[in-house]
Amino acid sequence: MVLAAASAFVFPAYTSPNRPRLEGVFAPVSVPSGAIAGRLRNRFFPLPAADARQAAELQLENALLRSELDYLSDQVARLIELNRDRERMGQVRHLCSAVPVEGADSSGVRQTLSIRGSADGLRPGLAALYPQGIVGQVETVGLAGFRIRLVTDPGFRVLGRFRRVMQADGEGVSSELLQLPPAVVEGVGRNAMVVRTLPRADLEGVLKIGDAVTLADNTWDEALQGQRIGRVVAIGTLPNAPLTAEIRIEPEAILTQLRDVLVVNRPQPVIRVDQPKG
Amino acid sequence: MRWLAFVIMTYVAIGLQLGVARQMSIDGVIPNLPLVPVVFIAMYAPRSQAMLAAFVIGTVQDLLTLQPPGLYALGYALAAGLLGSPNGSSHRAHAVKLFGGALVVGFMSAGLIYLHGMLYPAGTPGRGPEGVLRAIRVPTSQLFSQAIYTAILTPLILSPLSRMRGWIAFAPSRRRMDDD
Repeated sequence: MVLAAASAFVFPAYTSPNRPRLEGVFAPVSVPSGAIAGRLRNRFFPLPAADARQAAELQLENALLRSELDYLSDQVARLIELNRDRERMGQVRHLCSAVPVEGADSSGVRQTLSIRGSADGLRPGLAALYPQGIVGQVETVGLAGFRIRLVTDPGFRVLGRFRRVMQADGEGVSSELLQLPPAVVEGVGRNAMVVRTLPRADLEGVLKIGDAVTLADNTWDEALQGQRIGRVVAIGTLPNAPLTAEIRIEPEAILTQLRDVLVVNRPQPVIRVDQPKG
Repeated sequence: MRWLAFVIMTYVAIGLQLGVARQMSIDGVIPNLPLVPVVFIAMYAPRSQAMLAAFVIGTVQDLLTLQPPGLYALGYALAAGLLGSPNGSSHRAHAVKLFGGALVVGFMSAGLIYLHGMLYPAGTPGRGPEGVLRAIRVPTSQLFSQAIYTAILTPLILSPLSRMRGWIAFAPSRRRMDDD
């Protein structure tokens, strides 16, 4: 008794860690009896389920989660596609802010897009782009949004130059500037533009259907020069001036049906070059 | 006329024009959906109410377009005055009559826009680096194609909607005076 008392109260720090492990000795009895007792207990005294909902409710939740998964998978695929489109814009992309399009012009004959949202930092004249080129310019800015006038709106004018994209075997793709002067590209509605200032004779053997028209207007931001305006879809002559060509140009997409556009509203980074001393 | 119902109808029509109409374009021609309630009201409401309502619809549309303000308001009001009758009508209009009414409203507003374009073109004449720049106007073909397109849609929209003319409570002026 004295030894027991001493082991428990005087020297527990020495005696406790040095106890022998004898559990295995009783395993032939303890293991099977414990299993049988556990089954009997679960049968007659089952534990309450962590999720006590009915099967119908769980089925409904599964259906909702499957629907949510389909939606999120589709959204991810769309965002990947959208990002791939915008990557094609190159460095200009970093000067732009994406804005969703709320609607088009209420008349149906003018070509504008209305954008709802904050117009902070925006002013008339800022350019609007989409992955395939130029959309137009900010026309009016209000409290609840702003309006973009499309390049295809009747009377919209911008200077452009003609280019041809060529692909040579084994040499990649190149863009050649055609030997034509800069021309005024005018919007005429119905998602189209025209050039009506070039002599028909100058186009012979030079301009072809499918050639691109790119921005060459000094009144626009320098970073946007060369952005695509559209491509040539028809070459004809003016009805009352047979010597003057009428070149019909269309953008790569129906601009009034765009779902979002990119407004160039960020300043270009200024690169300062220090002059060497002496 | 129940002006709250009219406001809701106008709101829906303008909203659809801004959002849906651009998706309904055929060869670049977009319908003019706010014209539909103008025809609806002009067919059934007394002339004075119809002109006022048409003017309001046109004014709202003018605020949401690049066109000079007042064109649609004037066009719709004039057309409603031409189409409407002094005491309104309680008889359900035939589809052909709706089509014809929409053509009248569409052509009148198109004609007004065309006339305005002749005086104040969207693109003014000038001189470019390579030659003379001619005046640019909204294409006439687009204006009148839009009117025809909208006129075709009008009976399709208004024929079922005509059953709801009681909801708008078109009432002749004389009857309302008797009720007072």
